[in-house]
Amino acid sequence: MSYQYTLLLPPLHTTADAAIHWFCKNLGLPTNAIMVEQSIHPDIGLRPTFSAQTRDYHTLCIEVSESLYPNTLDAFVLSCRDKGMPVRFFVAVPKGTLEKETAKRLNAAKNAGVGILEVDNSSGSMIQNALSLSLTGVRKIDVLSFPPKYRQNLTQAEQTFRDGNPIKACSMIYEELEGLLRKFAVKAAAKSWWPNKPGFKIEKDPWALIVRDLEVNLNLTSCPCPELKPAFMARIHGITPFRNDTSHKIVSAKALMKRDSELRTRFESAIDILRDFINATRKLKL
Amino acid sequence: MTTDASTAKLEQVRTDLIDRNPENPRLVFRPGELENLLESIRVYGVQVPISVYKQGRRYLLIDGERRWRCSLKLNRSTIPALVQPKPDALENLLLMFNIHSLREQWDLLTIALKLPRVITLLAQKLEKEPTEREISEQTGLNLSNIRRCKLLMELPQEYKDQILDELNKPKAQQKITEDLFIEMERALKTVERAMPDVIPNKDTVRRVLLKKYKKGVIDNRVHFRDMAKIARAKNVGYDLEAAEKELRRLFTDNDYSIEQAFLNSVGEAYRERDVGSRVSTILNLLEEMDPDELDDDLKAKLLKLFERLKEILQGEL
Repeated sequence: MSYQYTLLLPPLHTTADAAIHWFCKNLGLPTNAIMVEQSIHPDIGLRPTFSAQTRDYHTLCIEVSESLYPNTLDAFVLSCRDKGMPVRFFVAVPKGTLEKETAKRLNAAKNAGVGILEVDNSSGSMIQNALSLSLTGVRKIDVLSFPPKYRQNLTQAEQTFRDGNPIKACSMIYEELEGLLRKFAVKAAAKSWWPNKPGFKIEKDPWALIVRDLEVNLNLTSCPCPELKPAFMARIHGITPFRNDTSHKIVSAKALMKRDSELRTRFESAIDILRDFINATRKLKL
Repeated sequence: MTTDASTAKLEQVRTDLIDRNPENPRLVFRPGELENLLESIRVYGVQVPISVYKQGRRYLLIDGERRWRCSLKLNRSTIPALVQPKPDALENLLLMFNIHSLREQWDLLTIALKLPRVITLLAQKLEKEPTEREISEQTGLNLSNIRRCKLLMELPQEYKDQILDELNKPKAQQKITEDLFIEMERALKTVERAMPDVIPNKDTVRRVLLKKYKKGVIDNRVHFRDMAKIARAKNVGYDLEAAEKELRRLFTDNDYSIEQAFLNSVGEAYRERDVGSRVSTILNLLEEMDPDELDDDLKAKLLKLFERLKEILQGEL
């Protein structure tokens, strides 16, 4: 099927048709969902070659280009990011383009969360997947500010986030935090810094209950971690509801935008709390 | 022309109400050029208004298709535009020709594709076939370009398509260019006039020559001028049958270059004619000179020439 393009230059029409075919086939999009050269938002300063709403409430935008990631697309990426728009943005290029391009351009696209598809009339290959632009603004983790044993997991978590699975990425950070907190609780119980400890099974009982109790009953005069004041424990307690709350079903694009915005904040916040908690308990060599 | 800019009104026109003008001869917009303009408009906006005319509730472009395309791509809702009165069909075309011939050069083929329509409309207006000079006056194109366009107009469609494909590529990557066809067609016309029997089928000859060009057997389009010189063998007193034989070989042998054909036939004769003509000029100049006023450098050169002449004409002296 051939589409009508007003803005796309004729030599790229077949690439665009092939890319549309590829996305329809691989994402199960109906052909009537494809919008050609339409505005996706009045304040976004670019009309992608084509766009479509996906079943998971993302706006799929594809710019067909003869080069991998032209500089002109940066402004589009930044606008979507600033507005927290759940856009998955791909650049579709004719087969063979990749050979001519530098790794620098490919990295620029990857760092911006932009996907790359190489396509011709008969086939297409996804060079890299696109991240929802509502998530790409996530702050880079300064792994060097963490002890070496955490760095690999943190790097993986950030990569997971950027690769398009922020729920799992948040979960990875929560796991680190939860593990560290349980270790602290075991030590606090053993050293009697937590005298009124109810009959918890520290390794198994809900994390939230343990934090809640530590917030109230941790004896800061005997515990050699003065930063672990009730306010700090309350910060940790504040994120426990999200530990298992990240995979709720999304029912609209608006809900997705809200969720992504929250996930970004949660991820960044969890990283900060983890760093602070590590620093606060550093003396204990947990 | 009844339409002029003094009657136009400057307005902010909605980009989605503008349509490209089907009569716009410009067919080729290269990506690199558009990207630069896109970035400029993104940063500075459209600094020079486009020109449109109203057609019903919408607007048709007269000038500024690239600015309009970029504005639309940048999702700008409006663009500054001079809204002109609706021109008639001929005015519409001539406006675009004149705007562009004064400002930037379109690709010649795109002009060539529209020129027949201009000629038809002009013929209706003038009630006679327009001369090249009249076409030039109306379109702003110079006579040389009109003639070059005519050569392209006469090409079979498949070659026009080939050129159009090439034009869509960045300039540096274009190989099968308008200039190549213009040189080739000019030379073929000369051959047809001088030695009509040598070209039984012009299209077959074109194919052979293009194949050679793509293979690098012909490595410079200017060599087609030498092909025309072979056909004009009579001018240098070269044997016409031998020249025809060379051209026939040139049009059939896929590995035989124009350079070889030229050297194997009329090359020497043209060189001699060239030398003869230069010698005549030098003799005329020398006759006007006073031998006492010759400087040492010129004297040294003349002596060198004299020595060489003695060598060449030894048998004759």
